[in-house]
Amino acid sequence: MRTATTAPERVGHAVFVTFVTLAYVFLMAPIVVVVLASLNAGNYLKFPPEGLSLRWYATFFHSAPFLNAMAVSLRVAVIATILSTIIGTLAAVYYTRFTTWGRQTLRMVMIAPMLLPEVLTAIALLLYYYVIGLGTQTLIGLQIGHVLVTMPYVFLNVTANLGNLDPALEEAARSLGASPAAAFSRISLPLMKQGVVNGAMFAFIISFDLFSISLLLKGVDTVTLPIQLFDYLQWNFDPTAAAVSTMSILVTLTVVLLTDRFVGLRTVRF
Amino acid sequence: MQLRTPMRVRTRIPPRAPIPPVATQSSDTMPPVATQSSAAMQASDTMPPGVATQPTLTRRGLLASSVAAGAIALLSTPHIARAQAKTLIVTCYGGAYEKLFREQLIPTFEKETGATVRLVLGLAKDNIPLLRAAGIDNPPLDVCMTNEVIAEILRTEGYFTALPEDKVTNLKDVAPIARYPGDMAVTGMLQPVGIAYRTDTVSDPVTSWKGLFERPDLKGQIGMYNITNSLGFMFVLMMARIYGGSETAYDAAFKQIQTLKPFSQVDFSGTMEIQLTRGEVDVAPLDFAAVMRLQRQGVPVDAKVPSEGMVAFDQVFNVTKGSKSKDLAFAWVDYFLRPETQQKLVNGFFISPTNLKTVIPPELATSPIMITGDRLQRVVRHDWATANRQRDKIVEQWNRLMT
Repeated sequence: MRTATTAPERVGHAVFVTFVTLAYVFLMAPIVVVVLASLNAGNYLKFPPEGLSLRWYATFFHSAPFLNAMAVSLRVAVIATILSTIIGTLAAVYYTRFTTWGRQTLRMVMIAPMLLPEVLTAIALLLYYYVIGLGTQTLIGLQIGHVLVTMPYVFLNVTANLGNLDPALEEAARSLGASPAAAFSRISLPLMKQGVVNGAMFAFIISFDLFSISLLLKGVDTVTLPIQLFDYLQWNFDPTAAAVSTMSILVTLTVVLLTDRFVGLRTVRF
Repeated sequence: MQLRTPMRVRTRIPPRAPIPPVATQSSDTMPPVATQSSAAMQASDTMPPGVATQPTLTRRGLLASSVAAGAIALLSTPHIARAQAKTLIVTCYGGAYEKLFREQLIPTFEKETGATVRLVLGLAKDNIPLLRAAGIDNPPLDVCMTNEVIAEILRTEGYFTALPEDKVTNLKDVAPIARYPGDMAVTGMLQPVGIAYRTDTVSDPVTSWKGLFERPDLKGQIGMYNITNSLGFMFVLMMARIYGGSETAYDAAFKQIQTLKPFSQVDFSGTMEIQLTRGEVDVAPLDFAAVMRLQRQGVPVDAKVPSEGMVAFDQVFNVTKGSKSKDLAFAWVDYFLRPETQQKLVNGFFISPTNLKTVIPPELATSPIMITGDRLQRVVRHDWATANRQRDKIVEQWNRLMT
C-alpha cells in the first residue's frame, strides 16, 4: 500500500485500518467465544468459561451420534467436492471456450442454485425425488443436492481463472503438434489449477456446513453434523455443542491450511 | 390439498438442466447404494425361469431386457430392499434421544422381531414436508413420533392409520389422557410443564398460572417464551383457557400477558434453563424433566404444579397409512408403551410415562414433580385442530403486542 503523505490521507488511512480491524474483530469474536466456551469446565454453554477442561471434547469423542454425523458430513463433502469440481470445471471450460450462442443462459443455469434460496432448492429437490421414485431412503438425494449447491462455486472460480488465460497458449501447443488432450492437460489445466483448487475448497467448505439442503434431504439413519448439532441444541445446552462447533471449525481450517500448503492460495491484492 | 406449499414452490422454480448428469455421476460413485444385488434378484424373480437360455435370445433383446431390469431396479429398490430385509423406519430426535434409541431400545426390539430398525433423525417439523412430498401411499417412514401439534395436521390430511388394540396390546394400560378417538394415535410419553423457580431468591413460590400476574415482587423476573416456541404457544392457549377464553378467543390472555411486560423472550427451553441457572430470571414455565436435570447438576431450582393444571410436551406415536410394514410398526408402538421400555425413558430423560403400569424408580417416585398415574389427568389437552387454524393470527398478535 502506498504510504500516506498529506494529513487527509493519513486520516483516511487510519479510518481504513480501524474499519478493517473492527470488521475482523466482529468476524472473529464469535469463533473465539465458541472455542473458549468449548473449553468450559462448567456444565453450561456460557462465556466467559468457568475453568478450563477438555471434558466436552471427551463427550464428543464418545458420542456415537456426533461421530456418525461427522463421518457422514465428511463423506458427503468429499464426494460433493470431487463431483462438483469435475462438473464445474468442465462446464467452465465449455462456457469460456466453446459457447457461441446462449452464453448468458448457460451461465445463469449454472449459477442458479446459488441464486435461489437454499431452502427452495431443497423443497424442489425433495418433491422431485419422490416424483421420480428416488426418495430419501438413501444418501443419493442428499449427495445430489450438495453437488448442485456447491457446483456454482467451482464454475465461477474456474471461469474467472480461465478468463485471464490467453487461449493462444493452448493454440500454440496445438500448432506445435500436441494432441487436444495433451494441450489441455499439459498447458491449460496447470494454468487453471488455481481456479479449480479454490473452487474445490469452497465446494468442500460450503458442503460441510450446508444446512437447509441437509435438513430436508437427509437419508434414513444418516444426518449431517450441522443438523445433528441443531437437534442437540433443542434438548441440551451444554458445552458439547461448542466442542462440536470447534471440531467443525478445525476441519474447515485444516482444509484451508492443507490447500494453502500443497497448492498455495492466490493472494488477493487490491 | 396436502401438496399446497410444495406445489407453489415448484411452479416458481425453472427446470434445471444440471440435475440429470449429476444424478448419474452420483449414483455411479456412491458406495452405499448396495441395492444392486437385491435389484438383480428382483429382476430374475420377475422373469420366467429359463428365459436366458432360450435360443431365440438376440443381443438386442438381451440389451433391452437388461436395461429394463436396471430401470425397474432403480425405480423400485427402496421397497424391495425393505421388504426383503424386514426393515422398520421410525422417526427419532437427534442427540440424546438417538443415543438412547440406538443403545437401549432398538437392540431389544431387533432381537425380538428379527427386524432392522432404521431412524429418520430430526425435529418433528421436518416430517411434514417429508411426508407430503412422498404422498400418502408411499411414506418414507412407518412410525412417526412427533408432537401432537404437528401430528394433528398430518392426521387431518389422512397420513396415519388407526392402532388396532389386538396388535398394540399395551394400549389398555395407557392413561386416558394419552388415548385418542378411534385410537388414531397414542401418546407415548409426556413432559409436563409447570412453574419453575429459583429456590435461593424466591421464598414464596408461585403455585398457579394466575399467580404469575399477581406478584408485583416478581415483575421483570419472569421468563417467557417466544410464540414460535411450542411452549410459548401452549402458554397463550393455557392463559386463554384460564381467563375465560378458548382456542379461538385469546384476547383476554394477551391482555394478561401484556401486564408482565417488559420481559425477555427465549426461543428454546435450553435457553430458559441457562437463564434460570444464571439467575437472569427467577421464575419461568419449564418442563419438570428439565427441572429434575438441573437439580441433579446442583442448580438451586424447583417447580410447582400449577393449580389450574399443566401444559405438556407430548410425543405422539402415529403409524403411516401407506406403511408396507404395518404389523412391525404396530409392534414398535406396542414395544414403546411396554412398562420396561417406558422405564428406560424415565431413567434417561425423567419423562412422564403414559403406561400406568410403569414402575418408577423410588428416588424419582417421591418427587412431587414426577407426574405419573392419576396426576397425569391434570395435564391439559388443547384442541390442536382449532388452535392450528388460529396459529397465524395468534403469532401475528403476539408479535404485535409483545415486542
